[in-house]
Amino acid sequence: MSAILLYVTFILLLTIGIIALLFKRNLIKIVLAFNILDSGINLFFISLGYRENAMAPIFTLAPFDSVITMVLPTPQALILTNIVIGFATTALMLGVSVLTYRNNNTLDTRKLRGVEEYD
Amino acid sequence: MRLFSVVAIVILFGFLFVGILHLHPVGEALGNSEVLQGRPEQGIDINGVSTMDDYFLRNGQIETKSNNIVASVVFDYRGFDTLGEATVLFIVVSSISMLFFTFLKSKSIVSAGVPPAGQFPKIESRVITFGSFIMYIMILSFGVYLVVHGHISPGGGFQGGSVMASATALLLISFLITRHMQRTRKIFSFFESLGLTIFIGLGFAGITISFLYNFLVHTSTGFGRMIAFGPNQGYLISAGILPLLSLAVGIEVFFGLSLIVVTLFHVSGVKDTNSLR
Repeated sequence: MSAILLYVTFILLLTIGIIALLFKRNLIKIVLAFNILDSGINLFFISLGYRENAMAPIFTLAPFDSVITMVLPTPQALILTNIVIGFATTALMLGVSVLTYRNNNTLDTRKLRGVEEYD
Repeated sequence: MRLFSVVAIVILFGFLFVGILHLHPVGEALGNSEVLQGRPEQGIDINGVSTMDDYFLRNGQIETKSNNIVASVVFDYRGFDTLGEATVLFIVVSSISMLFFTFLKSKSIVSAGVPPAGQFPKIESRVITFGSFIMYIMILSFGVYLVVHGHISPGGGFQGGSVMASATALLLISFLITRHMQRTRKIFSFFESLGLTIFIGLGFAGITISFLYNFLVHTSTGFGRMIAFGPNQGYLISAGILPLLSLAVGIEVFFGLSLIVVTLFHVSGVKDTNSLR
């Protein structure tokens, strides 16, 4: 079980994010749900490329042994991209939320849609 | 409808859980180790990982002359990806500026907490303002270090730019650059565009071979310094155009994120809500 614990954490984060996306009404909480989803996906990618007792894929001042074990570099590069994109989209969503509140005096998505009771 | 959502979530959860049972365990990234065996002549054997990553680990240092394999993947092997990422950041900054267009164009905006000219801000403590200034210089130095050493140590344009943008946020909360919003935005947007322009220009500099071609890597002196496979102490002038691309991305990320932070700070403090409609 401990071998897939990081994967289980990823699934929990993903499920929490999707539940918050579906059931939360506040726009700020929806933005936070996107962030949680982002974190889960980042964790999944990094744990896919992880190797036991491995170094970061950097040769500067690495120990000169006969066997060098390094983690996979490509997931790290992709996650590097994803973090910046996640930050940028979060900033954009928060900006839109600010405008929404200034225009409608509410952040409730159901009220914004004009529906009284939805269930 | 709520019942349908719950059922959908349970089904998703089940599919994901069944899916991870078929993945390799954490810490044992599998690969085709027979494809690329070690280099016994170098006395170094990297354990076999996935074929593509094993290729990067084994040949990235020779092909791009960069000690940091992640940097060589980001800026060389997947340079188009990084160009798209920088473009996405640029578009987001442009979108935020466009969202608050009427607010940003109005001259008579006074944000909350920003004193009129000639008066001291609300926080009069010299400890906060002077300490923030000292910390600003230190954080900025650390960010520049991360950007410049991106190809030989952990770091790079994106990380260093983000660190430097956090320094801008520190200046904002200590009310050091809260006046002169228009001038600040003009300077920041100019340098952000400059960073992206340098990136694209470096891409076009090697257009005789292909776009984003690492044209400096074959010169064997200067930025094309020969680097043997294996650990070394790291050379600042190496890795072809990777440090230059990293610098361009660092400039763009620093000023882009600073522009986002400055804009949202001023928008969140505005009292006249009519200017936001």
